[in-house]
Amino acid sequence: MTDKGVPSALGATFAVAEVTLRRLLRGRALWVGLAISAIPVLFAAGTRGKLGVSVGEDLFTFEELVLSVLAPMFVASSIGEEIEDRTLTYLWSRPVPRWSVLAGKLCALAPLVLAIVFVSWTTAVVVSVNAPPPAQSYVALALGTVAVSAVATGLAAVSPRHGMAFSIVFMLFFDIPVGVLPATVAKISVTYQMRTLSGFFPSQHDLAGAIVAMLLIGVAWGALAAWRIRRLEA
Amino acid sequence: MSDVVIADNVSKWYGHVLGISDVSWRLAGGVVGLLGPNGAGKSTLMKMMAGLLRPSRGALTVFGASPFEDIAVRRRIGYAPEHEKTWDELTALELVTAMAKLAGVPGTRARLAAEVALGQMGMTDAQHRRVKGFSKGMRQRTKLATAIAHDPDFLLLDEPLTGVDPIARVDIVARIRTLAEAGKTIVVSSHVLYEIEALTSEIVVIHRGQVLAEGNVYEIRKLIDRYPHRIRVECDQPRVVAGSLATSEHVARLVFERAGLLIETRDPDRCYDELASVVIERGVRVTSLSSPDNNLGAVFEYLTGDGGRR
Repeated sequence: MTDKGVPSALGATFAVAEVTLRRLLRGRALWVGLAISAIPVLFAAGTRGKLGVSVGEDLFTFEELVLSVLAPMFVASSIGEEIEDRTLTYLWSRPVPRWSVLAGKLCALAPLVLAIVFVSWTTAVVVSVNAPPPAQSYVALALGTVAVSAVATGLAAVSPRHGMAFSIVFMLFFDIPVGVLPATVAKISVTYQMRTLSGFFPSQHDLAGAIVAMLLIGVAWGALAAWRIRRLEA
Repeated sequence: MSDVVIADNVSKWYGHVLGISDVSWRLAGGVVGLLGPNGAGKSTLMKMMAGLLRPSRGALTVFGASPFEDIAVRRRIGYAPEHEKTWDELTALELVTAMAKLAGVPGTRARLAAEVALGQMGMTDAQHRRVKGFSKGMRQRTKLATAIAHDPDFLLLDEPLTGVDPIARVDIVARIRTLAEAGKTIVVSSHVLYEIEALTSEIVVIHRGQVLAEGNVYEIRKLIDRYPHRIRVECDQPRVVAGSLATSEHVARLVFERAGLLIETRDPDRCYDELASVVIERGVRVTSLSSPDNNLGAVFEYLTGDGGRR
């Protein structure tokens, strides 16, 4: 009836992604996330014609805040719950590499976060200025989503119970404040690199550097998560 | 036949807390009951065999490989954990299909394998329902289906009968027996002796992280029978019962209690027969009849009370 082979890492990743997505679509978190993503749109509608030349900057900052909440809410809580509820024992007792569980979560959730942020961002800009956002801003948000998701993955693997809270606190009270500092240290933050890529902040223009930095931040947090999950016992 | 499990001086600590202490054990096949009170180390041993925990000291192999390090060997293991929590948002079929895929069953066949496994566990009618609304018995059956869907050679069932109503219990026992008859090597854990006895006569008694005794359950029982067996009778005429039994040679001691009588006997079967006769002949109204020795705690008291006899 059954083959006796082990699943490929890719197959395991997709299987985890499928389950993760199915669970999310049937839970409440998605609706809460959609409600949060509507805030920039409401802000845009409320301030239409009043923001002047800083409209792009202001709306983008709002979108950064949304991303800082949404990615931890979906990614960190999904990983944290799996560890805390001990449902991870089902996965780890299977012949799959442990990192594929994290990869599966990211494959399912990061694109979903990105889709919600894109829709929120596009709608907010269109409502505010009757024109679509520049293409560059989408690249910034896409790479930002990957990086913030990686941060959330790392923190959830280190502290499953408080992974979501720690990730949100980290983004709101460390990454964003550091990212707006007029100092070199700002470059370690996802926020700074997103702003550079967005094109709304003329003083920041090293696009290639921003892409590399964003990828490095993502890889560093991803490596921390993979290291931690490999050592974790159920 | 080579051993399925070899545990060689295995110990496991959780920080300063000892889970398993210097356990050496071999499992050649068949069905084995892992028996011990809560906190004895059964689940720790199960998790080590399932590849979820790494021994702190010693070596544990399943089919010749370390299940923690070797991914491939886990393909041959089916594990049903003790805890109830699972992916409640999914239907039983979705859950078992996902588990089959993760165990290496190709996507196209995983659904069929899941349907067969759920059928084997008597869950066909409920397979399209979400796990969230399941009773404990249904959850246990679904967990067992996740463990068998990929047709493993070795099954680890951690407390599969916990919280299950008596009817479901009988049914689940029968289904586990069927798996055993199909040639699977099965380790079942429980803290209730009669649950294990219903499944197998081969048991390993584990207590405080150590293997205390292993072998045939009847040998363990014989060991227990060297000691007086206690029967507690709550009735309206304890003195009448005591008077009738006092002269019987198998009675070691009679103790009056507030609600009745505690009898210590060297021959429980004879004692129960005589007790029944007294109750019928003298019209004694019995409100409760129990044996403190039917629980596993008493077994451990016996086994550990005299220096851990084997």
